[in-house]
Parts: sequence; C-alpha cells; structure tokens
Amino acid sequence: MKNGFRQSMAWLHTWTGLLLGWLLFAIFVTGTSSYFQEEITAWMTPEVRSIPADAPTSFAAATRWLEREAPGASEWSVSSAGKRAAGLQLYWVNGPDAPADAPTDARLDGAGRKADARETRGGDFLYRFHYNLHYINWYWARWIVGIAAMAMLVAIFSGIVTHKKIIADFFLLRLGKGQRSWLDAHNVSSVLFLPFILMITYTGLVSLATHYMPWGIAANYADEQKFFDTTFPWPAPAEKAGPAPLTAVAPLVERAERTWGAGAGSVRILNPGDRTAQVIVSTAPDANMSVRPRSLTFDGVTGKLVSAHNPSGAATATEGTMIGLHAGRFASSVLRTLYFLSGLAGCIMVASGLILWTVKRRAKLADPDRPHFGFRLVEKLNIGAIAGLPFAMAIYFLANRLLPVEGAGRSDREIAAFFIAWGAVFVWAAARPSARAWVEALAAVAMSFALVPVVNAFTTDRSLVTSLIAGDWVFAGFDTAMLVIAAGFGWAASKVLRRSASPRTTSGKRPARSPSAEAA
Amino acid sequence: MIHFLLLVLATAGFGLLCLSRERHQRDLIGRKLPTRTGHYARWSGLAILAIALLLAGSRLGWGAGTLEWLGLASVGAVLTMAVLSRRSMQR
Amino acid sequence: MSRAVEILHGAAWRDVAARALAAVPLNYAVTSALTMLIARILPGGAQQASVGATLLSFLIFAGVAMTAFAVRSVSWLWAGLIATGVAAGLADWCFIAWGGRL
Repeated sequence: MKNGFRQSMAWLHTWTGLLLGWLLFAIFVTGTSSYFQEEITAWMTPEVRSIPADAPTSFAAATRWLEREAPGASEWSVSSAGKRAAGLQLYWVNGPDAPADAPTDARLDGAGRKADARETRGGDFLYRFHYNLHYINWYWARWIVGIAAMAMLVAIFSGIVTHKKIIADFFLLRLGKGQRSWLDAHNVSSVLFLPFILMITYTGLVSLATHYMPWGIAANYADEQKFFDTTFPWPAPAEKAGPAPLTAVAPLVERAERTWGAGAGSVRILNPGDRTAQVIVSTAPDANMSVRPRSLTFDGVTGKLVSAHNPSGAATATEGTMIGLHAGRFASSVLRTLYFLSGLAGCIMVASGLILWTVKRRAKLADPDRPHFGFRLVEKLNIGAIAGLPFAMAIYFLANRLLPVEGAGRSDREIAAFFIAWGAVFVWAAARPSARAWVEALAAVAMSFALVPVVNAFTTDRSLVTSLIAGDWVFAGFDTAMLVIAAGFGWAASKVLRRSASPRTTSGKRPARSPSAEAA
Repeated sequence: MIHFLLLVLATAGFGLLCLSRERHQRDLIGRKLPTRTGHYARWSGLAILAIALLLAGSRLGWGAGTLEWLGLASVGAVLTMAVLSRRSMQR
Repeated sequence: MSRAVEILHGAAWRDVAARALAAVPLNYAVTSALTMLIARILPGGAQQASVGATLLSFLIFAGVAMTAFAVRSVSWLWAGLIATGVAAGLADWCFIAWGGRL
C-alpha cells in the first residue's frame, strides 16, 4: 500500500501540475515581479521624481492641495504605499454641487505637487494580474486563480510524498543529462525553497479566503456584512453641520506615529472644513508584518483623539500575518531580495516541471517525429507560457516608452501590447517546429529585454548611465535587471540551440510512408 | 554586516551537511571521509545553521530574522549545490 | 502493485472521474460543512472562530483531495465523504437552530 500511495500521489502531482502549470507560471512570474511593483511603477513614470519626505510633511502638503482643489468634498483620502512609493495617491468624493465629471483622484509627489505623469498602470497591473487576471470579471478570475492555487497546494504535498529521496538528493543537480537534469532542477528549485513555496501558496489562498470559503462567516453571522463591518470598520461621513476650519493634519500624523512606533500610511478626512470633520490616520503597509492596519480617529476641528482601532484576536493576528507574509510589504531590502529570489525559484520549479513532462514523454514516444496531439499541445503551450509571458513583460515596458506620452487610454494600450505580444508567441509556437520555436522565442525575449534600457536612454533623460551617476538606484537597478534577464534568456536560447544541433536519438529509420509534415 | 555574515554561516552550514554525505564526499574533496568525521561534519553543519538562526533573531527581531534566515538558508543551500554540481562535472 | 495504482495506470477514466468528482465538488461541500462546524465550536467569539475556521478550511480541502486519489475503493470514498458531509451538516443545523447567528 505504501508503494501504491506514493505512486498515486505521483500521478496526482503530475496532473495537478500539468493542467494548472501554465497559469501557475503566469501567477508566479507576475507575483514575483510584484515585490518590486513600486519600483516598476517609478520606472514607468519617469516624469515623477520622488522627493523623500516624512509622512507628516507629505500628508500635510496633500491636505493643502486638496483644500485648493476639492474644498467641497465629503471625503478626502490620501495614501502612500510606504517608504518606497514615488509619491502619494489621492482620492476624494466630490460634494453634491460639483460637476458630474469633476476629477476624483490625483497623484502627488512627495512635496505635494501634482505629478504630471504619463497615464500608466505600472507595476500595479502586473500585481493585480496575478490574482485578478485581466479582461475577465474579477469574480471569476479569482476563482480560476484560487483553483490553480489549491492545485499548487496539492501538488506541493503530493510532490513531497512522492519524492522518495528528498534528503538523499537534496544537493543534487546533475547537468547535461537530459531528463535527469530537468528532474534535478525541478527538485532543487522546489525542495531548497520549500518553506517559501509552501508559505506563498497557502497564504495566497488565505489572502482571498472569504471569496472561496464564506461559510465560516455564514455559520456565525446571518448577515455577512455584519462580520465585515466589525472586522473592517469603514466609517462614513456624517451629515454636514456647518463650516469650521480643519485642524492641522501634520501634528495628528506625528502623534499617531509616536503612539504606534510605526509609520503612517494613509489619512482619510471625512467632511473636511465642516464641524463634523474627522481625521482617520492608519498605519503604513510596511509598518508591520500583519497586513491589517491600526488606525486612530481624531476630531477634525479640535484634533482630539476620538477612537482607536487595533485588530486583535489570535485568528485575526494569524490571518493578518499570513497575508503580510505573502505580500512582504514589511520587508527590508535584503529580505525583499530574498523574497524575489525565492519567487524566481518558484518560477523555475513550475517551468522545469512543465518541461520535464515533455522530456519524459518524448523518450517514450512511439514515433518521435509524429508525437500524439496531447504531447504537441503541451509542447506548444509550454513555449507560449514560459517564453511568452516574459516577452509580454518586456513589450509592456517598451510600450511604456514608445507610446505617445499624452493621450487618454494610454495605459489600456500598454496592457493591450502586453497581451498581443503574449498571444503572438503562442501563435509562433503553433506555427513553427517546437525545437526551433523554443530557440526563436527565447532569443526574442532576450533581445526585447536588452532593448528596454536602450529605448529608455533614447526616450527619457534617465538612462542607465545617468542614473548610475546620479545615484538613482531604482532606475539604475531596473535597467541593470533588464540586462541581466536578457543575458539569462540569451544563455537559455544558446543552450537549446546547441542541444538541438547535436545529434539526438531520433529514429534513423523512417517508416515507409510519405515524410511527415513539419508540424512537430 | 550581519546579512553577509548570515549568508556565510548558512553556506558553511549546508556545505558541512553536504560534506557529511558519503555520496558527495568524493566530488567535493576527492576522497571518502571516515564515518566519524562525517558525523562531526553533519552535527557541526546543523550547529552553524542553529547559530545563524539565533544571530538573525537577536539582531533583526525574531519575525524578520527567522524569515531572513530561511531565505539565506535557501541561498546557502543553492550555493553549496552549485559548487557540488561544478566539481562533479569536472571529475 | 496496489489496486489503486493498477486502476490509475489502466486509464479507467470512470475511476478517475469518480475520484475527481469526489476531490472537487463533493470535497467543497464536505469541507464547507466541516468549516461551518469548526466555526461554531472554536472558542474566542464569533469573529475569531469564523476567521480561524476559514484559515483551516484549505488544509481540510487539500487533505480530502489527496485522500480521494490515495484510497483503494472509490465506493468507500464516496460513502465516507457523504456520511461526513451529512453528519457535519446536521451538526451545523443543530448549532444554528439552537444558538442562532449574529
């Protein structure tokens, strides 16, 4: 029975991995890039030069801007993505006498000036893609992603059960041995990073837990809105009572930061300029390992503390920390780099698993020149998924630089370029013989990533050289990363080229029928 | 700095663990070690990893420190694996 | 070789389909019923119990999914899961009928 158990888990591991692997690769790649989403957004809005300012100063500057631009609003909201964000994001709810098409959001740099940046979704698009996908209603997208995440969890557990020599083969990476090498690569990337991979998968499910499992709430609450109101209080503005000057915001933010011993990340002002005004200050996303913020509510006229919200309870703390671990917003630069490397290992794990499937089955093909449909399909999907997505990301960055800076709908066109490029790789893979398609696709990825810093140098004044001289590590780091990725894919392309050029164990004898079309 | 020290300790720890395995000894150092030396290698490797964890926790806080230790442990294991892979190919 | 393995390799798609149905939709129903039960019996107040039960639910689902492909008899698998689901559902109904909800 023991042997049977291991083998049935091996079967389960192969099928859950294969059927969801292409989507999981996309989730892992875009998710891993999200650890640097603020930096990606900063690179994609080169017009914004963030001036580091402490929270009280920048929130005060934002308040002054809002006093000028949206005085009659019933609600102002200012948030910063933490110390690494390039500026502040502002939202407001216009008063009843504002025109219907009056703006409701703006972006300010750290000094409180409106950032006239090109319209782009930046790194946020990649981040949201990894759980909301795109062009699909978010409700169904999250279900699709959740199914993939659960499949991943089952694949992890079954993989651990199946991997008989998990300790014995711990350090083993035998290169140049075909199927054995791919298995080693798959084992090494998963076992050596197992704590991260297990954590990221489980916490990913937890991050959208109530979407998949609302019944825990339903068991105790007849109306689930009651649960959400208690757990995530979101006070609404009261009836306006009459004008009164808004108290200074900077001292309130300072006081909040002192009380918590942690940074403030958002300020929400209800009924600014009215007697019923309230100022709600919340902790920054990078202030704590738990993702659930603490908040302090102050009277908006007198500045007195009205109430405090501190998430408490073991389950809430566990959930908040789990989601915090997944997002890693609290992480220092060293830890963030480790998160990124671990995410890369996850990408390699998924990709090597998908490729291992084809390598294993190629050896067992009855006629290697005419593989059955399932095999050909997996091969083509592998190319489209593994080479296609990185290609799409490079095109996304290039589109950001090459599309005209002005004009509405620009961000949608950047995203369209992303998907068109991705689709193009699928089409190319379908049309070409697989071995050649791999080389061509990987080479295309390498070239497009290498182009990014070049195009950057020609279209902005923040080229790699300029950034290095100015000590601008975000821009210099991004351009350098592009070159490193390009080198990596170039190396991969050359390896595949050499492998397919060397004699393979294809059938020397051809069956006595017409030569097969070059469909494989 | 603490981060570099932790990386060195993690790599050393896994290096010793790798050395403690008979299968890898020939590739790493060209000969097989006596069984007792292998045991010493295993226990000292584990001890170094434990010391690294304590160091990380006390200097960086137990939350962030444990996480960083786990991450650097993975990197140290990868570096060890890379050295082993290289040396086994050279033989 | 165990029967489970024989059946799986023999491309008996009906067997795979039966296990898959147990591992996904039936599993979801049973896990939901169990999660509701855990939410009623965990200590610490309604809010904490609901959150705690939800956190555990993914482990339960994954465990049942693996079991669906590991056990030898598909009939016992379905019988066991249905029995568990019915029992948990009954317990949920009792708890809610007695204790009410917020």
